[in-house]
Amino acid sequence: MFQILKSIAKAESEAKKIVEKARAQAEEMLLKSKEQSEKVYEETYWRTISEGKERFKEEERRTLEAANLDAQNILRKAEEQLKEIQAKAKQNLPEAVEQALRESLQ
Amino acid sequence: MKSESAETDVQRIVDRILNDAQREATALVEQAQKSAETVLANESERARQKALNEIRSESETNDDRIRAIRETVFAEARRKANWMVLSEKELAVNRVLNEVKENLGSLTHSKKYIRTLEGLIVDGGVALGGGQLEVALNESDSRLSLDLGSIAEIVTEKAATGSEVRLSSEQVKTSGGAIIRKADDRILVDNTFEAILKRSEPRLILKIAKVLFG
Repeated sequence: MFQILKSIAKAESEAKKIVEKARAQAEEMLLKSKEQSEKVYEETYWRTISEGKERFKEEERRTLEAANLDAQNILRKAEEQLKEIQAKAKQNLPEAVEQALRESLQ
Repeated sequence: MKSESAETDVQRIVDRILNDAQREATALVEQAQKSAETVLANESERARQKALNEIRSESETNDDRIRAIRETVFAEARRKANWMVLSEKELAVNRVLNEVKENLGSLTHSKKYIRTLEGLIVDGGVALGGGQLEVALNESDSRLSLDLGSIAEIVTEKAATGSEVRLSSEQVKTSGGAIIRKADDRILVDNTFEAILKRSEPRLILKIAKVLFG
């Protein structure tokens, strides 16, 4: 009987140690997580900010690219307009000279 | 036999005690693991939300900045395009004006020049209100045989004032045309080609542009 009680007491003592060890491990984990939380906060904050800024830059780059394309279109249309102007100017030059002469001597 | 059975029972109790302890230990560690992960996840989310809020408030400024960039690029392109078109038009109009100047210069060698010159003198005389008038010409035109008497008659008629026109001894540097001045004072009408062109240039530019480009 004594042996039985001794065995049970030994088992309970070991069980207690197991639980206490686990509790200590759990406490350490929680403590560690609390210690890490500031680092995690900083890292997440700056990573998110950095991603946001990257998005802004990307948006700016895309806008600039699109605006440059549109600007090129504007200039291309102006080039076409120039050709029309040159053709009209060449075609209407004699009449313009004649009318201007007449107008200036009136 | 009985003793063996008792040993087995004790072993079972011991095992159960140890197993229960192991289970409790595992549960404790797992719970702690979950709590630790939750703490870190919450902290991470809190940081993300804070950063997102800041980005959101910066987003409007960024939108304005991007809009400004786009507008600047457009404005610059439009300015350049307008400048290209206007420069070309200006070039064409100036080409016509230069041709007009050249044509006016060569007009002095044509037969109709004397009539043109007389017309310019009449216009000047009438503008001055007639009276005693002097006409200054360039060296070459001074040698032309102008009918100053007829000119004076026309001026008299148009200005309704008795008029006399005489050639001034002063000669002017001009490609053609005349300077008409009152003999009794210093009022004059400059009807040289250069002055006429200069006076009429703003009007001519509009006219030329209209004819050239419609």
